[in-house]
Amino acid sequence: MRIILIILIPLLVLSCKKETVHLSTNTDEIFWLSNDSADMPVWVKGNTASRVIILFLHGGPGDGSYRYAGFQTDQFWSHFAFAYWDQRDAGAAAGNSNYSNLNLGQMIEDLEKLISVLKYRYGSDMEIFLMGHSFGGLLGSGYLVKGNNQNNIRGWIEVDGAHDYPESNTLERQMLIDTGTSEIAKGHYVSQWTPIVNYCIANPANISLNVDLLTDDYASQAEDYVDINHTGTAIDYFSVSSPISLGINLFYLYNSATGRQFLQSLEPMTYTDQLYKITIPSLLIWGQYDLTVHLGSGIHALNNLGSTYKHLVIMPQSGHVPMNGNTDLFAQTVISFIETVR
Amino acid sequence: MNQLLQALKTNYAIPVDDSVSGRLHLLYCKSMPYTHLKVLFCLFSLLLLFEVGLQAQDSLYKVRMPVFVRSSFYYDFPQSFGASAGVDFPVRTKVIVTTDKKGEPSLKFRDLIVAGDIGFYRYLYNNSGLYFFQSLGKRYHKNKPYYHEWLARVGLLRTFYDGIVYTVDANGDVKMLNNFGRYYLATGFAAVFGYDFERSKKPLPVAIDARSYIWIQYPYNSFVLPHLSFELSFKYHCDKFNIAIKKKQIEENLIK
Repeated sequence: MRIILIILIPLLVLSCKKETVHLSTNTDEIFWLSNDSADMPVWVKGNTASRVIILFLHGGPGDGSYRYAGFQTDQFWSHFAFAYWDQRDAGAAAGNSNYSNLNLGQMIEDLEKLISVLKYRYGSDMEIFLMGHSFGGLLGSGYLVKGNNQNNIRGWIEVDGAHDYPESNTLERQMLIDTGTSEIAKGHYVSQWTPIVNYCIANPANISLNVDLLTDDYASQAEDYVDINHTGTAIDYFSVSSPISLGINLFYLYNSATGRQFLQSLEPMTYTDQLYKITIPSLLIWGQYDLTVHLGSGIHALNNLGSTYKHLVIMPQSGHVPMNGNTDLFAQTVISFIETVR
Repeated sequence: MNQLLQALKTNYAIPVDDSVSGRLHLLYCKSMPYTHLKVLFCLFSLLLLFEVGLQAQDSLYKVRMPVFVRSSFYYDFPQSFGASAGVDFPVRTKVIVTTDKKGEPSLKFRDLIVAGDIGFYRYLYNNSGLYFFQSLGKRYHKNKPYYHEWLARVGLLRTFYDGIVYTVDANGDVKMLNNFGRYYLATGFAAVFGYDFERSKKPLPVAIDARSYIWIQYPYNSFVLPHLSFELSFKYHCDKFNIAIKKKQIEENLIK
């Protein structure tokens, strides 16, 4: 009995601890949002005293956000705070039987509630910037075009965002064919490019989920065959997020019937025709050699956004993850944007 | 013989071994001063000698076996640390006495054991878990201090998230959820390798062992979450917790 008490008492003391939220130049804390059977962690890191939080919407879907903490985002932490949110059923997010709620509409609702929590926790005067990468570009666009949501957001930063899946799939395939053909003609990575080009020629985009997923894999693989930077910054798998939960969430998403049903539901999703509704300051950042979500999507978004202040910045040595390809330029661009529009 | 054995039931302080052989030993000690009992003992022993010539002999009787209480340091991959406490007790034991071709006897023990564990772990910035496991398995050892075990386990896991948990109701009001987490079923397997000082040259009522676990929590995001865990355990044998269990002895004689 004594042993049981020795174990339980510290646990109870810890669990009863009340956390007081203070703004700080060196914030490092986590909180959770529980919504519709999913419990989603939000890791806040950096300078909350700046009264600016960049809320990061990770891609994938299913990638988890903590892995982006390793891409030298410490450059941001001294200026602003970063909020790394793991979306439902991704990264370290947990819950019991919640897959029936996995859909884009639910995720937009999760984001709406998360913004409410951020305002509640850090104060309603906290300026929130949304940064959506890849699938996060679709999620962020979906949030911003809905109702008055953009009133809660100071600025929109889309990084190689897939706000238009059919367009992304079409451009991705064409980019792989064009780049691959050109590289083969130069004699670069001929044996690697040949099957990619042949596959893309044989399989048009947007005809099946399997084709589009395999084309995504080829695009990711092909980044190794073009001359772009990979800073190789250590991915911070072990500090906050478990590689096991990250891996198992990804595995189930891409291999279960329900997960694939969700992925299938994303295939026709596009917000291009609604981008005019977004009027807040917007920054579009694209990797010049992004083979997954082509630069053309960025140019198209720039033309369609309703914002008065909107810029497209191209990262010259980057692929799909410019935080990795042009780390310093990426940080300077974002910091400069926020300082200008806040 | 039963009457004789019944007569030997005693309040004597140390009948640790309540088996037939243990009682015989006690009978021998008590009968030394009395000639007629000594004769009876010798006759009884002679009866036992008739069994020696058999190729294999099974017998079933009760013995008193040690119950161990255990405390452990716990590690769950990649960076959860915690502690646990538990109890291991045997429910049946089997001894295989093998006589090799040279006539040398050797002993192998197979103990069916049940274990109960309660423990916790903390994964900083992620979650803490409080768990209870019930295990069933086998312990293998010879007449040396080393032993190993295989266990199947089922249990219950309760998680508590690290940090404040918020929820937002239909009106848009934010609320904090105290001590929020989830219940999960858990099941898995354990492999144990240990050293029992009680069977060493200088016996001590303690044992140490290293445990590795593979287990899953279910349902985790409508699927399962696998775990890989390790424990370093210190076990203490409390004499007063000894229990009487069935012991089956199998004798194998390799001499043809």
